[in-house]
Amino acid sequence: MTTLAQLQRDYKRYLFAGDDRIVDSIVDTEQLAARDRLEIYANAYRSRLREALSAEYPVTKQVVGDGPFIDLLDAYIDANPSTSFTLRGFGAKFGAFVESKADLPNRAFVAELAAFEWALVVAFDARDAGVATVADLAAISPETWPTLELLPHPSARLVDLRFDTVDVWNAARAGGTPPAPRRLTAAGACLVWRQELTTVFRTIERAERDAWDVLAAGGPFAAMCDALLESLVSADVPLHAATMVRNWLDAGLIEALRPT
Amino acid sequence: MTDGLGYGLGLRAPYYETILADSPRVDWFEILTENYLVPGGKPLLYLERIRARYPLVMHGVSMSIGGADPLDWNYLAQVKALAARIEPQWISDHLCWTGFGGHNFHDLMPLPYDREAIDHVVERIARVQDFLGRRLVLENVSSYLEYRRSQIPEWEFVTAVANAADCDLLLDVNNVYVNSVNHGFDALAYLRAIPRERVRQIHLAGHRDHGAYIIDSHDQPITDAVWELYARAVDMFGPVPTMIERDDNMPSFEQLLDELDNARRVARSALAAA
Repeated sequence: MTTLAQLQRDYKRYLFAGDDRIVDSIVDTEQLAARDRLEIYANAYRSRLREALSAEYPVTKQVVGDGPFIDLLDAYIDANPSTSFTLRGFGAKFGAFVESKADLPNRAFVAELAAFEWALVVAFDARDAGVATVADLAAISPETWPTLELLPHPSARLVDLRFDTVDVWNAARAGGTPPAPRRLTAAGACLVWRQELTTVFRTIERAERDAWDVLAAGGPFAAMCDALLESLVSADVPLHAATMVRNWLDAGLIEALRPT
Repeated sequence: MTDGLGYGLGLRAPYYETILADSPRVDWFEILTENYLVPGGKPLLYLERIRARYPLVMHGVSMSIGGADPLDWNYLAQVKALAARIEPQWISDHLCWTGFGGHNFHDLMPLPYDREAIDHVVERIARVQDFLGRRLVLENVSSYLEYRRSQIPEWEFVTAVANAADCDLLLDVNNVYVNSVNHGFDALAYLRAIPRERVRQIHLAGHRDHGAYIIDSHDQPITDAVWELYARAVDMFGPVPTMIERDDNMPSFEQLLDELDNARRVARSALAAA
């Protein structure tokens, strides 16, 4: 290892683990000791990452409260140091991290809220794509529908919901104090995606959630119908599935139709 | 060096709409490269629209040209692809390192000013210039520490690297001032030492005085001391394309235009006096 690499390694050990072997490599001045000079960088590092995450999880921050949220961020930053040239994506594991914090009050709800806010972040600058239309679907022969694949729009994400998270988020973004979360009577979900430049979302029922899950995994129309059997009686499935697909197409949730 | 690009501002999201609505009197915009290395959405759309009206310069923070880790070719490929798309006047980054051992600190860390660092950086600049097919423009960074192993002053380091690597310089006048206070050197000695023919662009920005040290915060108007140093820089280097960096505590766009007009005035009188 070159001496330059050793110096950089020592600084990293100071930043990540408080190891002070770097201190002897730094000049003390009358105004500032070497350690104080290093702390300027250490503080800037932490505040930069906190700022980036706070911007991505504004309502999570409001719900958890400033002090506890900073503690949570610091623990996350220590556990998941950035490995990319960009901070885009740095917050991707925050929801799962929250889920793992057994001592966090309202943990399941906070994790769900974080997952919802992350879906909004992802949708914001996801790849631009055209959308398939109902007319495109009409051009496909119904006999081939069973094997038809529907390619989800690249911005679309499914977030599972056990709480009224979307209502809490809406209330907070409208400027109010976030209300206490309420558990949903039946598990639901939310689709988040981008229409042109506007990020939108819609809560959905269990049946639609299961069908979307199949689609997102690359499953064909027939497999989606099978998934619907979990929550619908079989006679209702074909009509329900066709309506659902039309709604997705109208909403710009489908990038392309792939007859196979 | 003069290529007539004139006076620019940093392209920042809060000003997208104003720029498109008013076509303000800014000669060019500098983008933060990483903000546009994204798959799609608003950032790229606004970038394309603003590019249709203004020349752009790409300014990155992630090249880690002084890093001991291998160069990030994935990053560099994305930089090259964005450059092919928006055809910037030039591509700049910083004479610094930003991470180690696969981890990124998202900070601009100063290098030690010694032979090992010079050789290391020069070799890497050559490879990057080769890959990008153009000359790099590297900026002097602000710093809050010095390494005991440094053997020469910062300006000799910058000069040695630029001459040996045959790259250009982005002279950040505020950073020179900040470092002159933090490390107790003569800012004019710095300006006099660097190779004038390589100064391709100038940065101006505000800083924050913390008493024992100054932070290059980009959240304040430019101070009188930095305006004075800028006048001396123009006197020495000529009408080099100049831009103002503002990244926090964002003022109205009108206020930034006023500050940019002041840069024009300061440069004009420095040139008239020369």
